Amino acid sequence: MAEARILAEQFDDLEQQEETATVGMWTFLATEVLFFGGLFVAYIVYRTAYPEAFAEASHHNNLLLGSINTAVLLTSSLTMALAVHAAQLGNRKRLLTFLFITLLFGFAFLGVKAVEYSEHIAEGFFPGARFKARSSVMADQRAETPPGFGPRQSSAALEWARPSESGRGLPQSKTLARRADRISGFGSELFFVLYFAMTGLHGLHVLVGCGVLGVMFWLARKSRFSPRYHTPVEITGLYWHFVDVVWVFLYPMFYLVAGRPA
Amino acid sequence: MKGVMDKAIRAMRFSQHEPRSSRRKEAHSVSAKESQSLLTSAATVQAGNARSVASANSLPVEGRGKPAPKTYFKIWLALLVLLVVTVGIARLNLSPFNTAIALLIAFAKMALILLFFMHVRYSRRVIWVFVAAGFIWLFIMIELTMSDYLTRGFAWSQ
Repeated sequence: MAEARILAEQFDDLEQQEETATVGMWTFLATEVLFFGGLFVAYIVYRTAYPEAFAEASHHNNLLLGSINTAVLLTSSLTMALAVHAAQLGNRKRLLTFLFITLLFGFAFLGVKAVEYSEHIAEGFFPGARFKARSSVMADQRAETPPGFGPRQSSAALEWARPSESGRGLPQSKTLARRADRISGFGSELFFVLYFAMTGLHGLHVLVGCGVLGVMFWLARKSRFSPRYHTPVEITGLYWHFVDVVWVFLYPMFYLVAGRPA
Repeated sequence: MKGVMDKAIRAMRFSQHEPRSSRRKEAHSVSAKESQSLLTSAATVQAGNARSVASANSLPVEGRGKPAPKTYFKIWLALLVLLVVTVGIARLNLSPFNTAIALLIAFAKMALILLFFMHVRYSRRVIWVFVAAGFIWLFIMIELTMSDYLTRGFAWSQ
């Protein structure tokens, strides 16, 4: 391909052009870090508030499927890196193969995620009016003011502040069970709000990544890349690996909260 | 503004055009196994003005030192081992340490992906600055938010 067509006029040479694109991509990824960052902060805040509920709710997530998906994404990162390497060498056939495999892994990830989502929805863990953990204790909760930013209270003080609970002659164990239930009602719904928001946003990124991989595949088929010019493949690689990094954190956050029952 | 950025980036580039460190040399020796990159790496390593040589001879941009497939496979294996370890540890009940260990492993995985798959290890410092920027601001956001919540008697369920 003629140099004039791949070198934009504002650059001295291809190397400068590639470097500029790489820096630009990292700038974009920095904004992505902060985009997800807001949700990460929300997660940290509410997990601090409801540690037990988060641990309990996370045990409803399918550890096996989550781990498989992690392995799928990590492997897709390998094939993406190999695709970039093939592009550097100008090996078109290998580039096409690895782009295609990476694309397949992306769809496999989304497929497993879809199975997980449908399981959650069937079990009533989708946040909203039909949220399962809440509906059983709904009546209890309605009377209570939602927790706020009050002064720190010890659990003893909380018990004391709610005589209606321990004072009605309910057996102690039942009271405790109901209290735990209510906690998991608030906290576990928050857990699943964050779960669906964060994995949903991540899934959207995977979907976009698949689209970009498709475009790269199409361009590679048209022999648009050479050892001298393959910046788009490298940039796509950066994006794909970044999405992988996000999942590397989502996975322990939503599947490995505390010592899981074996 | 553009001019300033340009100057900065170019200064970065020229100052580091000679193989900056043993790392880059090592990367060269790895990629040299690939027949095509042999010539390129030699040209790039040889002299400070390799850039102009490269463009004059229309040599590929490659050869600036990217890891070989063998390295990628090793990193991938390491990532899978870390995955197995983190699942195993999550099944034990180490109450206060579960989260810390899971996070530690996640950071290790992130480091491997960033440094090798995303080539940060082989990139110029200007890339390091941009990588660090995102995480530093994220850290500031988490730190300031939590220093607020944690000092205001934030204990809803306890």
